[in-house]
Amino acid sequence: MPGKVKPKTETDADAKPGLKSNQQPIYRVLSPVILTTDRREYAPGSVVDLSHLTPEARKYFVDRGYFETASGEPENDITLEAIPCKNC
Amino acid sequence: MALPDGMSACLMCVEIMTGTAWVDVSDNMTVVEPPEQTRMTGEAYVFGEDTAVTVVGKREPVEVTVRGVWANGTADPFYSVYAEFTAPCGDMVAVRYSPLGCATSNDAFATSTTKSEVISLTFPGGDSGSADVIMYQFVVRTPTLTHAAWA
Repeated sequence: MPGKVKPKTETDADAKPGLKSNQQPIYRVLSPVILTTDRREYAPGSVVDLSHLTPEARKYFVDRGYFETASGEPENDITLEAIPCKNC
Repeated sequence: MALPDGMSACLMCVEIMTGTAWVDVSDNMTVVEPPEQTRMTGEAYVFGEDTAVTVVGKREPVEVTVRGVWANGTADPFYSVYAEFTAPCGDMVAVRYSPLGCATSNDAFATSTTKSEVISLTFPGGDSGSADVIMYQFVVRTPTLTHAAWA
C-alpha cells in the first residue's frame, strides 16, 4: 500500500520538535482514510486535522500506521462534526 | 486455531457519488454483489515438461453491481444514476461500501471517483402475479477498487 510505514506508538517524544500533545491535532496521512466529517478520502501525504477524534482514537490510528504527527495547514474543514453512524 | 469473527452485511453502508460529494444511500440500496478483480494471465507449453509456463499481467477492470429499492419521484437515487447513465457518452457514478458501516475504524472499498461509469442499468419493472418489491440495478465499471479506513 503506498505510503505504508512501520506503525509506531504516539508519544510526545515522537512528535516533531515543538509539537506537544496538547497542540492542534494535525496529522499526515500514511494510508488512505475517509474522514467521518466530510466523507472525503485523503490520500497518503495529505495533512488533516483530527480534532473530531478523541486522543484515544487518534492513538489507535497512529499505532496502526494510518497517521503520523505533522504540522501545516490541514486540508479538511475543521468546523465540521463527525456524521452520526446509522445502525451503529 | 480460533475461529475468526464472522460478520454479516447487516450494518453495511453504501454511498454513491454522481457529482463531487458522497451521498449515503444505505436507506435505498439492498445488494452490493461481491466484486471480483482478476489479472491477465498467459501460459505456454514446452515439449520437455508436463506443466505450463505461467505468467501474469496487469489487473483488469472491476465491475460492481448494485441493486436498490425503487421509489417513485426524482429524489430516489435511481434517477441520479439514470441521469449519469443517459448523459452523452456516460458520466461518472462512483460507488463506495463499508461492510461494517460508515463509522470510525471501519474499512471501506470504493471505485475510482474519476473513472467509474455505469455500463448497465436495469429499470424498475413489475409482475402482476407477484408482490415482490420493485427493484432496479446498475453496474459500474472502474479500473480498480481501493481500500480506505474511516477515521
